Amino acid sequence: MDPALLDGRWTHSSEEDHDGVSVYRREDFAFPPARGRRGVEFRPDGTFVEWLLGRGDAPEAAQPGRWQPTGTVSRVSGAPGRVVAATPDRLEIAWQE
Amino acid sequence: MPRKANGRADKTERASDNGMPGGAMPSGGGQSANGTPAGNQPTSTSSTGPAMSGSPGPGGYAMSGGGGGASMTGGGGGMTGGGDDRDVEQPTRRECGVMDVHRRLLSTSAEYVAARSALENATALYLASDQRFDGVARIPCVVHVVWNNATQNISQAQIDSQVEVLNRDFRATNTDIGIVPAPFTGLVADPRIEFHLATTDPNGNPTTGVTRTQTTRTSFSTDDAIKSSATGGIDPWPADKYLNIWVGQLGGGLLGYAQFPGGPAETDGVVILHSGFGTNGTAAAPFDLGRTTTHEIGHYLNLFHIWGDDGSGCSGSDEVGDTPNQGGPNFGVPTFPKLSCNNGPNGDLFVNYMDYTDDRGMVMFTNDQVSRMEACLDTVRSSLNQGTGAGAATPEPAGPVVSWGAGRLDAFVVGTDKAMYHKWYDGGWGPSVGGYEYMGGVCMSAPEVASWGPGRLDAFVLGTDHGLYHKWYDGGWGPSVTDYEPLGGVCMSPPRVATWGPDRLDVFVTGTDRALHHIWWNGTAWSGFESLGGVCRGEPEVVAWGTDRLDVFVLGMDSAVYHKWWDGTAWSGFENLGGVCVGSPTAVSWGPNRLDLFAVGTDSALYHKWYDGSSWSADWENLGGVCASAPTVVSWGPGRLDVFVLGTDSALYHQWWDGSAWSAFEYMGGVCVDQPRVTSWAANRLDVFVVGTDSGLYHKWWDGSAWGPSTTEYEALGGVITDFKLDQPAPDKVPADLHSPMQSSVGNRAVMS
Ligand SMILES: [Zn+2]
Repeated sequence: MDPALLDGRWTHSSEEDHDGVSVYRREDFAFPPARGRRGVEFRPDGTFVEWLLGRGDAPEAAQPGRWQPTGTVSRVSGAPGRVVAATPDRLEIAWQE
Repeated sequence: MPRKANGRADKTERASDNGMPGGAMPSGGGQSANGTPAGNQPTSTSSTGPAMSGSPGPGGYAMSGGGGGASMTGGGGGMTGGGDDRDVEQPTRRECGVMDVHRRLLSTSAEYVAARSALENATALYLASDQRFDGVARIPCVVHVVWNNATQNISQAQIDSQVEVLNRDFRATNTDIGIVPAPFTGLVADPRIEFHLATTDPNGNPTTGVTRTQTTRTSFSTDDAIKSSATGGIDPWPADKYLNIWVGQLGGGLLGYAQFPGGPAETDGVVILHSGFGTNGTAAAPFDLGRTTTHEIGHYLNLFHIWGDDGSGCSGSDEVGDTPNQGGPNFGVPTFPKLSCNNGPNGDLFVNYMDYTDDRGMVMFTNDQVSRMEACLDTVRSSLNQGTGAGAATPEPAGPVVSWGAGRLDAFVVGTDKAMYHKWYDGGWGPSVGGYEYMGGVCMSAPEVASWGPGRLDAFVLGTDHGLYHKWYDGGWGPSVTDYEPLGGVCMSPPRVATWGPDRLDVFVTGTDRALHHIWWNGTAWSGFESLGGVCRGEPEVVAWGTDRLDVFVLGMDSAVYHKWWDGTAWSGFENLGGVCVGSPTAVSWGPNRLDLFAVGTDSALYHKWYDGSSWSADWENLGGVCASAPTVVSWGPGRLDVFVLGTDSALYHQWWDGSAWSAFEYMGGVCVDQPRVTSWAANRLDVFVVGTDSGLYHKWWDGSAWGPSTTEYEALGGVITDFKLDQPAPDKVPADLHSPMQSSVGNRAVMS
């Protein structure tokens, strides 16, 4: 996996989840409408930001966690996860929960 | 004599009301505050007021001849709804969120946190005080359509469908409310909040309440770019006066998002995906019932998600007492019971608007959610609530008694000296309970008064020359307390006035040619008289349901009602509404696209016909009774009508429509000599004025729970009032060549009998 592929923000494409794996897509993906979608963001400095459903339905950032070039992700609240697949327009994370 | 359809009380039943056949209305003004039956209103004709006689006004417009084509036919169509073309997108379930958003929120901005904290405290105080605004809150909205391709430039019909959904959901009148599981039905509450597209823009000009902006951006995110012209969207209208609703293409599949109260004004409002907006056009299942906007406005009015915004945990709270504790959001349309957080046996309140189900799954707010929204509207968003009255979307009807706002009444009468007199109520009666302000003139018609806003009055009468005269109040009287502005004309009917917005007046009369004539004030100057044709009996009736809309009704020589309307662009022809009426019809509108018409038939029964936005009721509805006066009608809000007439015993009778059924006629006592006059300054408030046999003015009021002073008693307001009506030439005195009836070859003719 090329860590550079992870860079930036991804939105949960829950319709594509499979086998306990959460699928994420880029902002320009043709998501079907939903009240709100979670997301994740990989920043170059190793900061991992989970975007949660906000109180007013706009995503809100959780307290930042960390990500490693190996693909492991840690969160302040919630179990850790691991990137299991990444392409420029599709990301898969297995959360240990 | 036809049967009384609705069981109006007869005299024998009434004898028990208070033991006085005539009710408590005295024929001598015993309750007059200053001790004289006539109050301080002069009864001699030697008053010093200027006589409005002599030459006609400027221009000397004689309203005769001309008018081309008096045939009141045609004019059909033009009042149909929009089409329904839809793009179908394949939807899925609503997305789930997790984790403690509270902590995240507390880390945003100190200012926001402080504002939110203060607001929560104010909400708690408000809820503890157990108070709330009276009646129905009315919120002016502006819909900002931001579009990149033509599909996204949604139709007016789609916008209107959303407003209709809001007005059902926030009044608990949505037709799908029956899906609430039985254990939860006691929680269902009516927020008593109504929404309308703004009719006045921030500059005070008339508006449709819709802005349309083409953008080069193909979609927007939740970064609020759609809320600013500088970033491809459109700036809000002042957030303290309008609910801003942006509608456009959102990226990431987002249906919408909202800003809570207490945030920055420049981004205040809600944002909705165009295909989740309204119920037609681009709206697509399962988010095609307009509930996204209902949900977002719930946030805008300070409601949190019902699961408490703590992900799927059981520790978060929505700060609402009567909602069950719930784990995470629900999606789709769950089946009852849906358990979480040990909330059995009934489980989650997944039918609530603040959950995350599909549109058809969310149908109600709870009592305590409603209290939170009301607290918001009475505190941080109080400037948004126009309530009922002059500022509301439906213009205040004109008449001899008007209200420019809650707690204010202005009543105008003509004394025996034919001068105009005025009294007002602003918590107490001015100039005194039995006293009147002398306003000069020699009036040949009852004053017709309009109010386009708080502190503004425009009064119209005919002079002895049958010219139209005008005076106004804007803090002081113009041209002076006792002077009048002549507007010319030779009028054969009393003037009828409507105002559809600030600084706008439309006056209608019939001329010597018995055609309908129109003169208007556009904010700058008076127009000349415009002939609208026709041959009319009696006085015209006019109502404005909103900006730049006028509906005029006249009685034709065949005694049928004819209807002509201004749609903002042009006048229609005369539409024959049928009927055989003994007097001019009375019209009222409780809101846009709604008209209710009342008339007395040749059998003296009351008849009703209505327009619901798409068509007129097929027949005149017989409401029974035996009427000895024309009906007077008022609506304090959507779905409500109050009708007052005099019976053959000269007592006042009252019949009302509560949104689902007509009441019987209610006997209200009195011995009255003229058509009652009525106004409503807010929902659940009525003020009724009648003239007694002593020619004094009498008043009674409905305060939401009871009639004052009592159902059959009246407050004496003094005065000696002359007949309000301008003598009409009887039909047989109309020149023969004008007798050609407005008989039309088209249209249905319903005969009232
Ligand atoms: Zn929400």
